[in-house]
Parts: sequence; C-alpha cells; structure tokens
Amino acid sequence: MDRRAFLKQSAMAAATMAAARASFGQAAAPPKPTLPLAPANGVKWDKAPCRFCGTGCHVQVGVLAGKIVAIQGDPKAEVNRGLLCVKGYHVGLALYGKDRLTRPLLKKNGVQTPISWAEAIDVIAKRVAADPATFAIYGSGQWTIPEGYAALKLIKGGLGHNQIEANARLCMASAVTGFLATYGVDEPAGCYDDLDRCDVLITWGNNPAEMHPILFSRVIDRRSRGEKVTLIDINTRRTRTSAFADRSLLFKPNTDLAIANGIAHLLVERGTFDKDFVDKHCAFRAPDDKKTLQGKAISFDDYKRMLAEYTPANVEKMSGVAAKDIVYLAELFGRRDLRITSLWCMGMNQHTRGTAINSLVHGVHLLSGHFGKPGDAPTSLTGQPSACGTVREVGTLCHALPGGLVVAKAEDRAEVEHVWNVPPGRISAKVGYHTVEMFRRFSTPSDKGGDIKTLWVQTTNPGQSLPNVHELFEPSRKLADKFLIVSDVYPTATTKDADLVLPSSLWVEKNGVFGNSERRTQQWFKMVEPPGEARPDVWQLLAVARRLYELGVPGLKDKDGAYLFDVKKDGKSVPVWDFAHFFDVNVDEALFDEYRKLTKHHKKDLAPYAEYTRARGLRWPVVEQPDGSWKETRFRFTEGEDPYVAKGKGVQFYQSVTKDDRAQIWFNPQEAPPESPDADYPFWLCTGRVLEHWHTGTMTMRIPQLARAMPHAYVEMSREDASRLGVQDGEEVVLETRRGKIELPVWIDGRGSPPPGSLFVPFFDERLLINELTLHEHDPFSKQPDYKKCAARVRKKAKAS
Amino acid sequence: MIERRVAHILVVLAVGVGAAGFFTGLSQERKRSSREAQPYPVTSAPAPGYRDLRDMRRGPNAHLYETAFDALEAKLPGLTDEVPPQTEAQRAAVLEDRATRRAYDGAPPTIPHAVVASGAFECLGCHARGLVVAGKRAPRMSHERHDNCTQCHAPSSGPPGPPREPLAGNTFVGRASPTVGERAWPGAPPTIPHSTRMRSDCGSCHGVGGSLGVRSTHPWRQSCTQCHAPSAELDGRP
Repeated sequence: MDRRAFLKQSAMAAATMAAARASFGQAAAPPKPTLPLAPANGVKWDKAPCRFCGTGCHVQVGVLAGKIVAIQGDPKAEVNRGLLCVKGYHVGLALYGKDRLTRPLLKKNGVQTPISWAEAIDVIAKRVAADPATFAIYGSGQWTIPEGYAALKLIKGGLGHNQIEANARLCMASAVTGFLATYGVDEPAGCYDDLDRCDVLITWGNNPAEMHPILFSRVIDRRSRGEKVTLIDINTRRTRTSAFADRSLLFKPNTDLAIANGIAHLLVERGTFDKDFVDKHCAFRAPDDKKTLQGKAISFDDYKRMLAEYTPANVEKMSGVAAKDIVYLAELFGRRDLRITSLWCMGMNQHTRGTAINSLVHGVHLLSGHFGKPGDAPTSLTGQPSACGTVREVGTLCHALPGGLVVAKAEDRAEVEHVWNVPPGRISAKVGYHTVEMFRRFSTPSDKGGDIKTLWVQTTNPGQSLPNVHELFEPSRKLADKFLIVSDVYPTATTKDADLVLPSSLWVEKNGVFGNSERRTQQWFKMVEPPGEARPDVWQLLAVARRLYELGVPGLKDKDGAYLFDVKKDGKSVPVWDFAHFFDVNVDEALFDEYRKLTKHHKKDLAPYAEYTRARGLRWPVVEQPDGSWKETRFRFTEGEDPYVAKGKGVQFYQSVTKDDRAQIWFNPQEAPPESPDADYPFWLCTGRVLEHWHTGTMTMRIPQLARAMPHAYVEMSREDASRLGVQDGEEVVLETRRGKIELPVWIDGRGSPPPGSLFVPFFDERLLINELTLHEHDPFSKQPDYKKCAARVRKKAKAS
Repeated sequence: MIERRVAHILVVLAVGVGAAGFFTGLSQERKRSSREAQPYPVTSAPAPGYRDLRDMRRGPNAHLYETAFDALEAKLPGLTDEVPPQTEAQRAAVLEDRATRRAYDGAPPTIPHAVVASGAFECLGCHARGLVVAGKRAPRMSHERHDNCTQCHAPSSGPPGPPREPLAGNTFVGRASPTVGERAWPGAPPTIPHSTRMRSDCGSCHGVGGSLGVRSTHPWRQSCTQCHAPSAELDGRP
C-alpha cells in the first residue's frame, strides 16, 4: 500500500468513526474512558459475597496498591458459577463515590460540623445513659451478622429492652410470618439447586430477570441449552421476566389470594391433590376470631367448603385472570410427573395480606405434594445481602432473639441470658415497637406519647425507604428533643438532617459475614482501607457500649461484673473499643462464635467462623460429621438431606406448630385492599425496583455505568392511558395520592408495561421520592407496609404562564 | 382478449381481497382498543395490534440500518481473504474505544446504542452471529450464550425525560486495558495480553469481522490457544 492509499484509508476510517459517533446523537454523549488506568499486572484477588442483593453471589475482588481495580464472578461459587449481574460487576465502584463521608459530623446551631470520634462516641453514650428506655437502634439486612448481633446484644442484653428493628421489616417480614404460620420455623426449605431441576417456574408478582438476574439466568440458560422449562409469570404489569415467560398472567392488584385459592379449589374438587403427602404430613388451618398468627385448626371438609366459592369463573371475575388459565395452573400442580418451583419477593411481601398470601402459596405446594424433592419448592427470595443472615437469623427485631428464639418465651430468654452470662430477668419480655410504630413515635412530640427520643440508624436509609415519609420520618427533624444518629457511607435522605452523622467502612473495608436467601452463610476479610476516618459499624457499637460501661450503666456488666462485650485473645482481654486495637483480634470471629451457640435450638446450626473462611458459604443447618468435617443442608425437612429428619420419615416437619410433624395448609379469604382506585384517584400505583439500582440508590447512583443506564425515576403508563390523557413519552406529569405529589417523566412501553389503569414508579431516586406518596397500611401479623398498591391520579403539568 | 379478461378479474379479486383485509384490520383495531380500555383484560399476554405496531414505530435502532441496506448486504470477508495491513494507530483507536465502554478490564461492556427496554431476545438478532451494519460492527458474543443480556450489559441511556446531573463523581481507577502480547522473539506467537474469562470465542474481536488493528491475519486457524498462551495472573486464577 502506498502512502496515498494509506492516507485515504485513514481518512476514511476517521470519517466512518465520526459518522458512527454522530449517529448515536439521540443518546447521551459517548461515555468517557476511565483514565488513568491501573496497570494490568500485580492484582491480588480475594473472595467476598456481593454487597448488593440477597442472591448472595460470590465475587473475586481485585486489589492493587490498596484500591479495588477489578471484579470477577467467582467460578468456585455455587450460587453464581462465575457469572454476575451489572450491579455485581460494578460493586467495586461503590466504594469510590466522590462524596464519601469521612468525618463524624455533629449538628451545632443547625450546621453539621466535624468533630472527633471520641466526642461523637461520648455524645451518644451520654444521651443513652441519661435515658436508656427511649433509645432505639434501627438497622438493616445490610448489617453483617456480627454487626447485627452486637447491636441486638447492646439493646436486649445491655439496656434491657427490645427497641431494635431493621428495615427487613419493610421487605420480608411477611415471608417470615408465612413460614412461621406454615412450618413453625422461618426460612425456605428449598434452595437454588431447585432452579436446576424444576420443569415449571412460577414467578408470583416477581421480576427476577431484573431483581435476581443470576437466579433467573440459571433457569433460562437451561432453556438455551435445550432443556424444557416452562416459565409462568403471574404479575400486575408486564416486565422483562414476562418477556421470557411461556405464559404471562395479568391480575388485578391484591387479588393474588383469589388465584391461589382458585388453584387449591380445583386440586381439591378434582381430587388431583397429593392425598398421600397431605395425609402423612399436613393439617389444615384458617384464621380465627382473635386473628392470631396460629389461627385455628380446621378439617379437610371445612377447607373444601371454604374454597367452594373459588371456582374458575369466580376467580376470573375477582382477579381478571382467565378461568382457563386458572385451570391450566391447577392442572400443572395436579401433575406428579412435573417439578414445580415458585419464586416470590416484594410483590407478595409488601402486601397488607402478605402473611396470608405467603401461607397460601406454601399451601398450594403442600397440597399438591410439590415439596421436598429437588425442583419442587416454594421459595421466597430476599432483597438484601443479609436480610436472612442478620435480621431473621440473628433476630434484630423488636420481638426476636438469636437463632429463632423470641422474647415472649421465658425459656428462650433464659437460654440467651445463660450464653451472655447476664442475670436472670435482664432480657425484657415486653416486645418493642415494630418499624412503622418506632418511627411514628420518633416523629411524635415526647409529651404526646412519642417515647422514642434517640434513634441510631445504621446501614440503611429510612428517610427514603419508609412509606409515607411525610408522616413517619420528616416531623422528627423539626422536634427539638429528638436526636437522630446515622452511620452511613454517603450523604443520604436520612443523613441530610441528622443530628450526628458517623462515617462507616463499606463492604471489603471491613471484615464481614452475610447470610443469603438460601440459608447460606458467607464470610469475607477486609481488603482495603476506608477513606478518611470512616470506621466499621461494629466498632462504633462496641465503642458506645464501652463508654456506657465506663459511665456506669449497669447492664453493660455481666453477672460476674465483667464487661459485656469482652473480647479475648490468648486468654487476655483486648481493648477493641480503642480503634488502635480493634484489629488486634478478629472481632467478627469472637462475636460469630458466641452467636452460633444460640443457633442450635431451632436446628439452624452454624459452623465455627473458621469453616466459612475456607468455603464459598455453607447452608445451615451445618452439622459436624464424625470425621470432623462440617456438612451443609440443601433441602430442609427431607430425609437424606436434612440431618434432623428421622430415618424412614421421608419428609418431617419437625418444628411443626402442632408438635406432630405436620405443616399447615391455610385457607385465607380474598379481601379488599385498604385503598382502591376511585373517581378522585382512578389509578393503581405500584412501586418497585430496577436492575441497575439497588435499594435507595445511595451506592449505585454513584456508579457511572449504572447511573447512566438509569439516571432518574419515571412513571410507567400504558399507551392507552397516555393517549387518553394526551401525554407524550418523556413528558413530565404530576403524580398525586392522598399523601403527596411529585413530578415525574412518563415512560411508555419502557422497562415494564402496566395495563390501563395502572402506574409503576421505581423507588431508587432520592430526588424523585415516591415514598412521599405511598401508604403505610401494613399486614396485621408481619407489620410490613404495602408499597405496591394505593390510589393515585395523574395530570398534565400546567403550562408555564 | 381472454387474457385481458382474466387480468381484469384478477385485479378485481386483488382489490376485493385487499379491501376486505384492510377493513377487517381496521375493525380489529377498533375492537381491540375498546377491549384494552378495560383494565386487566381477561387474557394472557396479548399480541400487539396494528395500532401498537404503528405506535412502536421502527424501534430505537432503526436509524442504524434504515439508510444502509446496501451496506447490510455487504458480506463479511471470507476466512481466507487477505487481511488489509494494520497499524499501531488502528490498534490504539480500538483499545481507546474499548476502554470507553468498560469500568475496568474484564467488566462487561456497556451498550453503545439504545435497547428495546422490555425485550429479551432482541440482542441475539445481531450479536448471536455478529455482523457489520452501516460501518458499525455488532460483534458476536465472545462468551457462551446467555439470553438475559441486559443482566450484565447496561445501556448508555435511560428513560426519556429531562436530563439530570449525577449525584456525585466517582474516583474509581480500573485495571488497564490490555495493550499488546509479549513475544519471546520476533516472529514468535504473542501471548494473550488480556483476561480470557468469559471469552470462549476469540473470533468475536479478532475474527474476520474484527476491527482493523486487532484482527487476526490467519482467522482460518480456530484453535487460538494452541499458539497464544493465556495468563493465569490476568485471569485471576490461583
């Protein structure tokens, strides 16, 4: 090639490139390279569970010169087998947002002013020591297990009350009550292995293609390898999951109970239920007059009679799902040759009838015998990395104690008091306030019954994630004697007006242990230093506990007068409250190994901490074998898998509420929701999540690749409604409920498509706060609010005059 | 004469059939919209109607190919066709372009064009086999088939609406893109300078449709790692 030809070619190439770039004019400017780049060699890798959702993927974190430079899916992890989702691949960037909190900030004359850690710890301890009973801690399913355990022990063992809650109350409390009502014990019997074996996957109000993509891919990738898996999507709007589904059934919001009852009705009516399984392992229940979680026992004939009105034709009328589709579902469940897995998450849990619908779906599986065999499982998913591990298993809730024990039972309290070596009676039997009530009291003047005065929030963002924040959160910021302490990594809707802000270490800036949706406990070590003066949440708790001890608060001593959180190394106490000595010993290991002593009572046995350092997580119960190794459990209540099932039983519900090894099949009637569309507010409003953002977006909105893909919230609307209202795609409209209003751009046929009469808004965007509009009505048993259904109206924005 | 009469009859028939079809279509559209005005129609997922199809227009990527049908038909070079000479400048341009789409080397690239937001299989239309459209290269997947493409690959624009500034910048510094493989001596096959995680198909970037600068001079040889050694360190293998 001569010089002329080469020049011509280069010019052509340049022109083509320019033209190609120009042709992307409709999108944002092409992303800029992330320069300068770290060298490619010399990267050190270590394992950690992902910081984001409850799936619990393992990542390999690549560290160079003290900073994370790359992330890989961990090929040794059974959960994700080397694959991640777009959030997981970018999880390392979550640490490096420019506005990380780096110093403790105390509000002085209305301005958050930097102070020292010593002063910050002192401020908290003095306030708590002065009035321990009005102090509460609010954490989350993002607490590590040791963090949650330390917070629980501080409140329940140190201060002798039960004012501790976690945001998991807002996301999976109804799943817990559903498990308790059905099996007498919390957490799924099945695991992700079911996804490799099921012939039918039913997603109930669930969108795993976006929210649990690794689990969803595990199923649809089987199909692309030639296996037959039927996907049935039961939903109130079309989603990415619907796009992959063989059948997508749209139902009217709140009528999922009618669908489940419709399936049960046909199974019973046609005699296609699994008579043998039901006779051996199940009993029937219905709500009682006192509305207790246990309900009342009913006979099979009662059950049949109660279901009688749920004929396919009636269910069609109630739910909008065609009678033939109800028959189709019932026929699937009636087949013994198929393996059926159900998945659900927020759709069934954020529901004023959350406990009821959870129990019904378990019931359909039990009634049809689709239980306990690989691929046959009703499986509830979680949204936070340790909603199960910390909130449910450690029990950071106002009624709970570690390992499934509860404050209401004297023998449970005595057991925990024994392990903590505190005097009998230290743990209060009085249940504390559940989340909505805790915040209501924090936002109520003290002289009007607002008896929560100091609130310490860790690892979560209630200023954005609570429902109806106008009423539950914002008033507290205007009351002089209310004091809000927030430990976080970035400025959030919650830190904004906090009285004291504490900078926290994030993810691999500290040691940690999480527990995922399939009972898998996963550990990681600190890999990088946190920025500035940020410190681990568990240190913050232990430092305050020590200051309380020094101030003479009696509960911080055990019954022998020793410090409640004494951590020993080689028999000598280590002053871990002094940050200079915090890493002299692995505090996580000390707390975890104490906690695991409490996990055996409900057969949720955990292995010693050291076992988890070698594994990519282990699913409990983890039981020691004669050879000294530790064996995990894939399928609970199933002989041969679960070590607690007696030989010859096949399936044994050994924690049955009726103490006869039977699970409860519930009848719960379809009922009207607390608020429905009417003439003034004609739309259903549903809120939820998107693939790119996690929780309230505090981390993911600071990751350029994710923020660019989803920079702001929107309101999804059907094309019919948009054309009726005369609104264009992208036009900003006013969205209003009885509780508030915001302006949002409309997205037609966007990420999802709601049917006419329905709207959907994601909740990640702190600048477009949908929770100013949502309802705080909650499930009577789980106290979990319903974010998924309220009445709304939409109008065009008035033209600027 | 007979032929002309036959032709007339055919024309009448054609017009008749066309008109019948047109009005049937219209009436279906009318029926459809009256049904859709009812919330939660009693049905499983409906197929799109004529009006939906019209409203959906041509899809967000139509501008990439609508004016370029000639280019669409241009065939990829054959495996044994001569590869044009390649320059360092071309390689640098490819690497720079590559870096713009990744947070770090090994991250799944972001999508440089609009995507059909609720779609599932749309990606595979172009990226299953790989093709060149209007000068743009749609590389075929470098990894085994995964259908939920947007699980890993984020689009580079979001929902419509007024633009919003990001909350804050990010100081993350990602692992560098590969540059060039090492050769033991001039003429020796270079080692693979990048991670091979999820890259089972070298031809995705280096094959006949690959950008000049990184295209293989011998794409007919399919067993790449026979001569080009991967790096355990870059792959993050122990």
